[in-house]
Amino acid sequence: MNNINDEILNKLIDNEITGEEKEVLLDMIEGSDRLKNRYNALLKAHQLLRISTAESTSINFTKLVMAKIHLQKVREEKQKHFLFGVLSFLGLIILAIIAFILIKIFSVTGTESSDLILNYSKNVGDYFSDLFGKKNIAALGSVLSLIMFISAYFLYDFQRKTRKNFSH
Amino acid sequence: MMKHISDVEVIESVKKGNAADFSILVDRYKDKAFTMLKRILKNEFDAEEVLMDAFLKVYNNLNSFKFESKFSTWFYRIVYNSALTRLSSSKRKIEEAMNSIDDLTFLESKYKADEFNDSDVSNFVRKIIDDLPPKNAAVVTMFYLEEMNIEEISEVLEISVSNVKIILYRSRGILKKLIESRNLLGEIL
Repeated sequence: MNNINDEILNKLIDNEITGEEKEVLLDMIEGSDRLKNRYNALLKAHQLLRISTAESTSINFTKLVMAKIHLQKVREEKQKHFLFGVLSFLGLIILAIIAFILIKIFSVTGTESSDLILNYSKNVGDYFSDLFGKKNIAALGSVLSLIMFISAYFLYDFQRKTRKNFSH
Repeated sequence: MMKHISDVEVIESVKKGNAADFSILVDRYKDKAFTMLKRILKNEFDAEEVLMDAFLKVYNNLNSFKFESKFSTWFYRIVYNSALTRLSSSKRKIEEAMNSIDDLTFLESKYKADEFNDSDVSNFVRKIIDDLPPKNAAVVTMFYLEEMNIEEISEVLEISVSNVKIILYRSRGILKKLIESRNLLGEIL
């Protein structure tokens, strides 16, 4: 009788033993006051835990969650628009350059056109050779770094503001 | 009579773009999950904050939920992991470990029989559950409040079924020993 440990009693409570084993156990429990007290205490603990109730969140909890979800969506939309704006701007610049070159090409005819293309190619080549030459590379690097720093600051500021809105 | 909408139906509706339907899931799970978090974190404010973050995580990752398990299992795993992250970040985990309820004398000295009367049985139980270590509190809440089975709980906590049983039995055992040692059986019955 002493070898009836709490694990077996727990299994009895959770119905994890066969009908036959259950009958034997219940007989043993009935036959021993000590075992009966142990079983009743464990059963009572189980019952007390079962009747414990859930606590409530604040009244407007659901509304707050839904508001946060909505804000998050707005933030994502804003980010999308921002990226779309930047990409559109870059795209427009590229299109304008292409359009300008094409207009120049089609505004002249025949051999003039091929000469013009050759001249343009040569000029563009020379321009970039000068631009990335030893003299200008340092200045160009500084300008590009400055532009990147300024862009990064604005991007960070934009992110910070949207995050601040999101957290309220 | 209003038709009960299953979790799966709600999720499918949200996935189709009806974000407002997510509030059905929030209303359905918030109180039980809040109770579990409060028992784990021992703090009402933290519990609500972590729960809010958990619901946002659930919403953002709803597309990755493939209905391979019950929604409740997936949801409680997110809630439990969020609680653990909060515990580890606030270093409360260490404090909780130091106050482990496995040391029965700690509880016995805390809850004296003469402080107990018939009218506050639920209060008595609540206080004991509130003092359980995080994992025990999670198991007890999911087993008794959410009525999840042992297998589901083991999936949530990512531990074996036998370990869940051990935690559950020990948690019951704590209460049982208090009832026995203070001769409370008659009073409660």
